[in-house]
Amino acid sequence: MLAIEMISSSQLKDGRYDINGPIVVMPFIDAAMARRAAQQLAARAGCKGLLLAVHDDHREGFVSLINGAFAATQSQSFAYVAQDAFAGRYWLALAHAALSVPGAGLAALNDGKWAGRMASFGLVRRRWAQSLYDGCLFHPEYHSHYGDTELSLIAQAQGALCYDPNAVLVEVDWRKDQSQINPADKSLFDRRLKSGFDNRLNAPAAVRAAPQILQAGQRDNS
Amino acid sequence: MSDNKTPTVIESGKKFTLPKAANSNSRKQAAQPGPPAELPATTALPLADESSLAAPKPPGVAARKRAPKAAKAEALAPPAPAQATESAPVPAARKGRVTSITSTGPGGARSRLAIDNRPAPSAAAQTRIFQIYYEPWHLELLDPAFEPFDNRGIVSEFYELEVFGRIAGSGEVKSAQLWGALSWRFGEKTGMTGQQLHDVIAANPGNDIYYCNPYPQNEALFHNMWLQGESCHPRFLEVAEAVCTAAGFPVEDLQAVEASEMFSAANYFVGTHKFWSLYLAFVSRAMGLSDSRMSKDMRELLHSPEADRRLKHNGATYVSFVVERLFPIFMKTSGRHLKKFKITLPERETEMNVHLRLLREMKDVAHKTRSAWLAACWVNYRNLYFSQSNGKEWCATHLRNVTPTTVRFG
Repeated sequence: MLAIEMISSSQLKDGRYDINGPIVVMPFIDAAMARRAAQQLAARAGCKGLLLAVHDDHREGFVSLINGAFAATQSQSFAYVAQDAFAGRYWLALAHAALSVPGAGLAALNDGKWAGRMASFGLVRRRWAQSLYDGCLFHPEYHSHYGDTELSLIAQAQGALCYDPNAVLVEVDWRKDQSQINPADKSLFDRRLKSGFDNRLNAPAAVRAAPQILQAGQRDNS
Repeated sequence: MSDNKTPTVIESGKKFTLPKAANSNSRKQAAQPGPPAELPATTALPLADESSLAAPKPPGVAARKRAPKAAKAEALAPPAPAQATESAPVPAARKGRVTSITSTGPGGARSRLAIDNRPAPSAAAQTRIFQIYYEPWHLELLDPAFEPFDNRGIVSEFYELEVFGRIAGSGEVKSAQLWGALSWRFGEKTGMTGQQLHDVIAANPGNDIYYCNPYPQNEALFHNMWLQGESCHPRFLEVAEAVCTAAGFPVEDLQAVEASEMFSAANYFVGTHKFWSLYLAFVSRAMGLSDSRMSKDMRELLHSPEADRRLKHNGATYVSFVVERLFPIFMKTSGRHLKKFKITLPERETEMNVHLRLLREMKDVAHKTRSAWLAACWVNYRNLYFSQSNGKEWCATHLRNVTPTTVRFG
């Protein structure tokens, strides 16, 4: 069972959360929804750790809050989730086990959508993730979308993406497929993909494969 | 309960004086080691003085604010619409119930404050339970059966205790037979709704203090809450011993086997004026004596955030962790004549596995029969449980510290 802390984003700057087990960070703006989700996720985690729900006081956006929490915490592994997540049993313990494979850096959770190709919710090995963006988990120029997409593609190109389909964490959003993505984030992603995310996709084949992976996921949505 | 959902605001820092940093406006300030306390050894509370109850400060009332809701976290992106902040004053000593409050918002809505002068329903009038919140978004999480208590912007290392003192000194609860002020996390921690709490109290009348323990596993696994604290806060027993010595409490109690009935946490108290008067005076005196009699180093440690090195409690100092463990000592000393009722928390009880239930029962039987033999059996079983559930590293770090070598009953 995870311990739960609900804090304001301003409190992230106050200090560091140093935890032996995994840290799960859930940015939120709907406190009631977040508390319900946090309790459900904590009860089904199957391991000890901390679920840190962070209220977005100043509408900084998902990416900024995750990066802030990543910098303000210390743990071997770090999960990013959202206030509309719903967990299957032992979701975190199973993801943690998947991440224990040598070379693994990012465990994609079974979100009911990407089948492990993309970690819309994920658990990272901190040491691996810290090497990517100078201490940030997601590329800091994204606001709310595509940070997880870029991270997943890099992990896949490096052979660091892993997946246990039994580690279930779905997004319960009844209008997900109708919702708009942030166009600025999309534009930034397209630009960055062309450069192989600043040459982080070091194999040209990986750059060519990325759009196919994304398209496969989009076909799944239909 | 008459003005349910009407946040109560009681001015901080005048009526209730706790030693050192109690009314600080900055957590950092509160966390800084300060000069030796200049307070007298016994810090008087206004509670015992009836005149203080008759001179309440004017509480303000702010309408309940709600953060905008969004269906998903991805909607964090758009900037939030401006929030209408509504507030309206209410008389310091209410003559009737505030039944509705409307204030002028950005759209020019008219203000209205309606007072219902009919007597409030007796049950509601007799028990007033506030729920303290610190951030606007906490409002979304408050229980409708409690009265919101606006504590935004007030930081004290005494946490709820500072609020208790403020409420007690304000006269806000003068007409209530029972009152309490719970945290915004009450429902999450206890698994109990506000209405359920009211119902339990109503079904068990005649007590001076109603309390509970949201962490019943500690009743099974630890001799007492002091030893439990040692496993969470570095050097906790050292601080606790210094506090007990300064306050004149028996230091041996820190190692004693305590009945599960005496375990409580989180300051979830609903009590009579008699309870609050005695309890707040007791705590204030104990902490005042600690500040005046402890060594400088120990006093600085007491007020340092070293207690919460991993920031599980927002960098709290030792003070709040010590204060919440004073309750059993209070109930054996100043509060020994009070009638108490410990509320069982069914949801928390369901989380107790068979070993924890047996361990708790075993320890309670040992305590009741004063059987050192059974207590030793409990310690062995408990240690086995820890080795299985908490792992080698935890046991290597903590087990010796939480296992006294002799058996003593509290």
